[in-house]
Amino acid sequence: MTHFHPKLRAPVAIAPLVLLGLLCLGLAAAAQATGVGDFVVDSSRAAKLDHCVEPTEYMRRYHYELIRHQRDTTVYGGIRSTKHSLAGCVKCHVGYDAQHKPVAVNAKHQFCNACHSYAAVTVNCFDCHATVPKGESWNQVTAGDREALLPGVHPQVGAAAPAAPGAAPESRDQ
Amino acid sequence: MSREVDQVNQERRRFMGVAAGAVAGTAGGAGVVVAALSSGVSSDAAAAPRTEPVSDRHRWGMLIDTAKCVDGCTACVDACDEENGLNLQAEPLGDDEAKWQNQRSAWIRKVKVQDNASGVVTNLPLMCQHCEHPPCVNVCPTGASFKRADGIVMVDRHICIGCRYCIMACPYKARSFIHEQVVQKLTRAPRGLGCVESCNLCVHRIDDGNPSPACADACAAEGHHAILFGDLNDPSGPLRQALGAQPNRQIRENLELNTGVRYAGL
Repeated sequence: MTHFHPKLRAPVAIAPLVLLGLLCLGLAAAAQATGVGDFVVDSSRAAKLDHCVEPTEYMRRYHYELIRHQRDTTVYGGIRSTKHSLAGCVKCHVGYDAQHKPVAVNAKHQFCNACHSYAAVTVNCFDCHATVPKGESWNQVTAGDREALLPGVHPQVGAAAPAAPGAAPESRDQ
Repeated sequence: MSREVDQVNQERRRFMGVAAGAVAGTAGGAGVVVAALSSGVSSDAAAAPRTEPVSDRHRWGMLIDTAKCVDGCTACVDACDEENGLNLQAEPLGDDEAKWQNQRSAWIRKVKVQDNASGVVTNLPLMCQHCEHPPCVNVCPTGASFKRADGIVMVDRHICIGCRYCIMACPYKARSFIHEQVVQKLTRAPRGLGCVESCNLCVHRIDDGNPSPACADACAAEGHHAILFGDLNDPSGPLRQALGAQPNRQIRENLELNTGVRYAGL
């Protein structure tokens, strides 16, 4: 049995190196993970915010579930004021060009397209839905400070007051 | 039970409709002026975005006074086009103009009817009548055509397969089909190839706490006040007051669909 001894010892000596290697790989993967999907367009409103309506990791994985749930809530229940509306996504994530004109959110290298082309997942929301904020109804972004307005989220002290009811028809004229 | 009551009401309306038809030519313009005609907003509708799902507490409807509807005026149609992005539809290149006018989506049509016996001409806007028993909902194979709890008949385009059964079923020719890819869209009015759509009483306005459709606003802005929007479930509301004060009827009342849109002077 003794002749196995040196060979057994070798892996034990290598173990820390292997662990270190795995750690490096893990770090590299983590670095890559933050790179992939980190496509918030600089000129968009979202770029100025700390996080989305939910934690970023959650949004990356489950945004479709949220939008789909909201869609039925809106179509059947008439609730447009909650924070998971597609109109809110577009309003916040749409980028602007040099002339301050909004660029379609599903255009190449824009917010939706950047990830969806990488993941090769076709998104068909915009077959029907507007790709730039135009003629919006009420949504959590247009109404002003989203923190103060989301149902279930307590308004922060000193946060901007909700838009006056009279502001709704105004936003319609855009 | 409610069906029985409906039937009784149908009888009454039929009688009233005949009576209204008899006087329409002579006294149509002398309809009772309702003080609250321009308001059209139910008293308990708060001007705030909705946070609770819609309920059957309200049933939205309209009263259209055809005596006030002016020949040649298209204010309601234009306002509807603008409000719901219908004016953004682009005619396909090389398409025949007449064909396009026939195919493009329109939520309101101005209709002119003439009584051949008396020669009386009546103008009226015709849109989705928001029936209590909508045939379009009955025939929809996917459940996309549905009636919301507050009586608005709508299409859930997420599950509409574009079969167009509802277009065939609707007695009012109220529904349109989107034949072409739509490039320009409004956030409040999504629209895409292969789906059916029709008047939804400007549902986004109702959900925003501003229950007043663009057509009614435009008609009032023109000074005609032919369209009165309101809550059919509110006995003291302006719509019910106006319905009680003026002979009115449903179009194709023989189908007993109990429409949400009523016409006076017809």
